[in-house]
Amino acid sequence: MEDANFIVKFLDWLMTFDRKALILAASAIGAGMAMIAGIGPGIGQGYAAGKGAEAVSINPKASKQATLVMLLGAAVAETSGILALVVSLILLFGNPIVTQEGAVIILVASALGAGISMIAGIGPGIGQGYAAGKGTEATGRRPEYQSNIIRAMFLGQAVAQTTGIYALIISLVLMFANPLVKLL
Amino acid sequence: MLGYTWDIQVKIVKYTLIIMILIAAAAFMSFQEPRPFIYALIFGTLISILNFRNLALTLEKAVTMNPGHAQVYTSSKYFIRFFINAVVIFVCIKANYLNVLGAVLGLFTIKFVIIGTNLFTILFSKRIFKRKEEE
Repeated sequence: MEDANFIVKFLDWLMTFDRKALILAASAIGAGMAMIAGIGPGIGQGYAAGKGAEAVSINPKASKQATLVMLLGAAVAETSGILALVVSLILLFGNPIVTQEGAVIILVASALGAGISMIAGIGPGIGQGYAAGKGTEATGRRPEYQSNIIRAMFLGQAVAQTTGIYALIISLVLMFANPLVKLL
Repeated sequence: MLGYTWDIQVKIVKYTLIIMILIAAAAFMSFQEPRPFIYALIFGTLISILNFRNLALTLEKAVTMNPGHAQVYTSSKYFIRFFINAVVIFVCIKANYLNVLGAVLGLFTIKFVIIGTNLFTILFSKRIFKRKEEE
């Protein structure tokens, strides 16, 4: 029965590789996974810019205020992308997992998990971009309330960023202070 | 032409440079070998300022386009800035004379300044307790 089990066969095959090679391979996949988060701010900023263009076309007199709100909102929306970059590049060029002691399968899974965790960055990226877009739209309609709109927008964006920071914390814990290795 | 968000850009860059100097001074006093951290901090901060300027130019142009084109144009420019950030972090990880933590802090300083200058004033302002009708 065990011979027919694909998962057991796959794990046996994995264990034929060198320990370091396995961790590096997992890190490569993890680094690639982390970069998926880069999509989020791209979509978010694009949405904000689209809304900005709409707002200016509806109310050209408010173009200055609308662009200002969009600039500030879009700048904050980039944050998750940079966080993902940091994790991805640490996995590629400053990998702390290779030198760690412990069961190889846990270290491999941790390297993968550190990367996969950062996919959460898509959420804040899109959400903050959406907030920036709506803030810009609102400013286009009611430019006299610009400062209130900016505050509401940043409050929303700061809250939206928290999930991205949680993802970063889990990713850094898996890389630098892995609690799972000690449990075995 | 400086663009109509020039004033806010100058204000944010000014605050960012002040925060950078404060962090650099703190690092100078607390680290035994502060130079890699400070160099990386300056490098990261300057690149983030240039990225912010690029974002401003991009958005000022995007608002003159139709919404569909503006989305594509802004997203493509975002990926260029994303690549520039990747190069900065890569260089700081590879180079021994630059501390990656300093660079990451430098890249984020401008975000903290943007949120800080706009959001945290709300905490010190009594205006939020006022009703709209009273204004």
